Amino acid sequence: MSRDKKDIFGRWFICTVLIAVVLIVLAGGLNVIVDPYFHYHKPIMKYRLNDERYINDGIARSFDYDAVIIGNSLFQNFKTSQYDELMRVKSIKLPYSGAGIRELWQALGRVVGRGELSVDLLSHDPEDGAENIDSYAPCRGYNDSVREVMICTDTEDVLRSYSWHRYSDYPIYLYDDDVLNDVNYIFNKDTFYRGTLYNIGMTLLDRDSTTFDEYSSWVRDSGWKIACNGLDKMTVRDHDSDRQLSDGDKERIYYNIYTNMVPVIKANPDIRFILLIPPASLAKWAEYYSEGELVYVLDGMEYMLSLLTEYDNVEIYGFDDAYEITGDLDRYCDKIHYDAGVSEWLLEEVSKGEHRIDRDNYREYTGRLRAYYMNYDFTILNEYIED
Amino acid sequence: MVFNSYVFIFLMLPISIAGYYLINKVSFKGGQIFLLFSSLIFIGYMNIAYLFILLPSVLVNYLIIYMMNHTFKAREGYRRGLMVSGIVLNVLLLAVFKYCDFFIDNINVIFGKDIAFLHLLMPLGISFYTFKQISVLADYHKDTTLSCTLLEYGIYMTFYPQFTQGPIVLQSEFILQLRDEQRKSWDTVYASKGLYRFTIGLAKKVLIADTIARAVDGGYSELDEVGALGALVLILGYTLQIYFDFSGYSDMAIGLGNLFHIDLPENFDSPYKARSIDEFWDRWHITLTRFFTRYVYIPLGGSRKGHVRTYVNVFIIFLLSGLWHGAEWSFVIWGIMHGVAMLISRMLRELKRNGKRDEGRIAGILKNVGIFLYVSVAWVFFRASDTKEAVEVITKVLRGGFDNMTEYIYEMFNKTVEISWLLRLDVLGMEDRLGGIILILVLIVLTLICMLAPNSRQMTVRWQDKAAVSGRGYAVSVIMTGILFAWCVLSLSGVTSYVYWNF
Repeated sequence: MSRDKKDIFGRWFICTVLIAVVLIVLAGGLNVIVDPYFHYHKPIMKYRLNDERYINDGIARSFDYDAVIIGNSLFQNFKTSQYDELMRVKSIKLPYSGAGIRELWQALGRVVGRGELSVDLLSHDPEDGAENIDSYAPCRGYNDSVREVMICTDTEDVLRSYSWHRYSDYPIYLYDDDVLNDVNYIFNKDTFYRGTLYNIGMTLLDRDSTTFDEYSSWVRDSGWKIACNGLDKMTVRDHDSDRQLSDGDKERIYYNIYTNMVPVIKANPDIRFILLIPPASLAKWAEYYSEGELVYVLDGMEYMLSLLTEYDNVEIYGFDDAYEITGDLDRYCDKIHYDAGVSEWLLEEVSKGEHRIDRDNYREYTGRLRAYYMNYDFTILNEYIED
Repeated sequence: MVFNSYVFIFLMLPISIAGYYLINKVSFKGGQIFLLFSSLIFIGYMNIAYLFILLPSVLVNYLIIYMMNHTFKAREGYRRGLMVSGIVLNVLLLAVFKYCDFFIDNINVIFGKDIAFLHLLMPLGISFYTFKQISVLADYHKDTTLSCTLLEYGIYMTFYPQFTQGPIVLQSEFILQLRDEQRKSWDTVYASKGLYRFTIGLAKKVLIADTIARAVDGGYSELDEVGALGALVLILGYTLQIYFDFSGYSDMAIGLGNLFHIDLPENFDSPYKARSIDEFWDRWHITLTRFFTRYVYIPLGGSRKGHVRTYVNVFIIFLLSGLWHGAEWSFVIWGIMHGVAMLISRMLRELKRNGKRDEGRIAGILKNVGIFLYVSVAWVFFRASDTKEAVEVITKVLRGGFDNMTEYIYEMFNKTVEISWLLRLDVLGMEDRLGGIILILVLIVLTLICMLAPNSRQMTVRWQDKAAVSGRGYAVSVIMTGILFAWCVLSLSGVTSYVYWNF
């Protein structure tokens, strides 16, 4: 091949590599400067809050706040503005749609710090514990000024295994301090398009940043038929054959609380932990009823409360006895998700100290639920249940 | 390490290539040692344990071929014995690491036992390097290859561009190039060709295959929700996914080989343009077909021992091919499906031999479509987690009722940035339905590309002849390749929307 031709190909190679490098560096540089998931710094321009699992850790790292609202989709409609006014704090909202206890408390542990485990995790569950042990290691939190946390404590989630989580392909690179794996964030088309370009666009068009009130909030169709969707026709049944809370179940609940929750609670004696048990709808209770799980869930809840009411810095609020809410299925878009109005009401009740459960009244609380839901005539739902 | 990763593109690729040529300037042997270490780092990066299986295997095999070539050079009986022992050892190694649990599972089912699975770590590339070692043993026995040093043999076995997924290069093809002094220095033509081919492969893998995979994985994860139309989309989607994925990886391998100034054999030649199953296998995973033909089919007697024996031999090849692809009965069924098609094809060819006539255009297209459909159905057994799931997918299509597709299939697909741009074109106000329609349109366009458009090799030849010379085409090819490469790199990582189906 002639010298000229070799030169032509040589130039082709160099120019192509140069173009590629310039484009990659340009996109990556912009991603670092704009930092749409706040991994490196506070927002420097208008921003959009979305992609919860990508942005939440950055919010916790970079924003100024002294209170945290953290929960799954049941907390997505909570408004920090209302919370701030009622509680006189400056809060952030960290919603993790579909999250269980482990995910929420690990996220919270990164925010406020986490202490030593007081249980032997590995001997309990060698298959799962070994790979997850690092996730339970003690750590310093991002923010020393936090004085109040409100966290979703869904009973069903507490009854699950301590390691239960829905998602496996987590963006770990946004949750650690390893600079090298940040390439996944920096040289990322989605970060660039959904985050960086979007934020630049918002700034140029002078659009308002997403507020925490708006962040992940939703409006959905609700109603009796919608809430009862998925239920089979209800029949009257006795509870003789109901699932009972076994010793194994109790051990599971114990491990869930002592591996995920207690290390964070104990490491932060000055923080007020508000554990909110959201009101499950009548349709959800009907599901427990028809599946013979009512006794199991109520006994499990009682056991959970017996463990959690031991801590002075923990306040528990339970709303399953708010029958005007749980029984009004017009306020639910499925068996568990209530509308924004209910979210608002819940915050008001908490601020007034209503529906509080403590070590003196938790048996009374579960007793009330037992008396109500175990004797409830769920067949009235049949007219809303499709064949 | 995989080619489509940051660590490979930002570190491994530039360092291994620059280091190889720089050290070559000082010492050719030094360059070769560097190349060997680069490959070992590439292999050991994922799990260092891979090397503890690979290296002894390479050493033992080299010892065997050394003895065949030197110690027992003139003693045919010993040489044959050594070859057979070597092959048995390699097959045993593969059997232990790849098929152990499969055997245990079958023993448990057949004899009602409860033997625990071993869950052995399957070494990276073991299926490929086992075949390469077998080919070397056979070639040495037949004296059809060159003797080589341990270093050369080590590089041949571990050369990272082709280590994990081929192409299965023969020793004779590789060693001569490795020794060629002309190839030890940087060559701009080869490097440019390599970069161009690598970029095409990277785009096929990252932009096309991985995007389709979102739809396919979504559907298979919620198969109960999938109807006839959805199942059809899954079948077509996986047919395209596996082609763009595997051929993309082969393109990257060939491109990387070129960057090291080495020609690796082609592995794909537009397989979905095939008009017969024989032709399909001449175009799909070409180096595997070559391996089976040379080292299994011909030693079994090939077509020299009559019709029946030929058919049996062909069938054995496809049975083995199925098993080689995966330790599951569904892979065996996939192999059987291809074996049966191959037998029918051969029988029909025999019948038509005397009355041969030119094939019309329409007949050719129909044959092409027929083979495409048959291959697509066979791929279901390749993708499904087991035979039951594969049958379920096919049954769903046969049941009919082409109602709406489930959103599980297109939800994640639609989240891809490029697809989300298409979704903005909702001028007809189709809203939710548009997601499924766009997926189907994308699959149809990709199918047509597979059937009608030039393939990567042809594109590279055209580029070399026309685009990569001065002029407008030159500038366009520089800009387009640069943008495509950057686009692929920026697509290596994404943002997953964690879709909690209730919320």
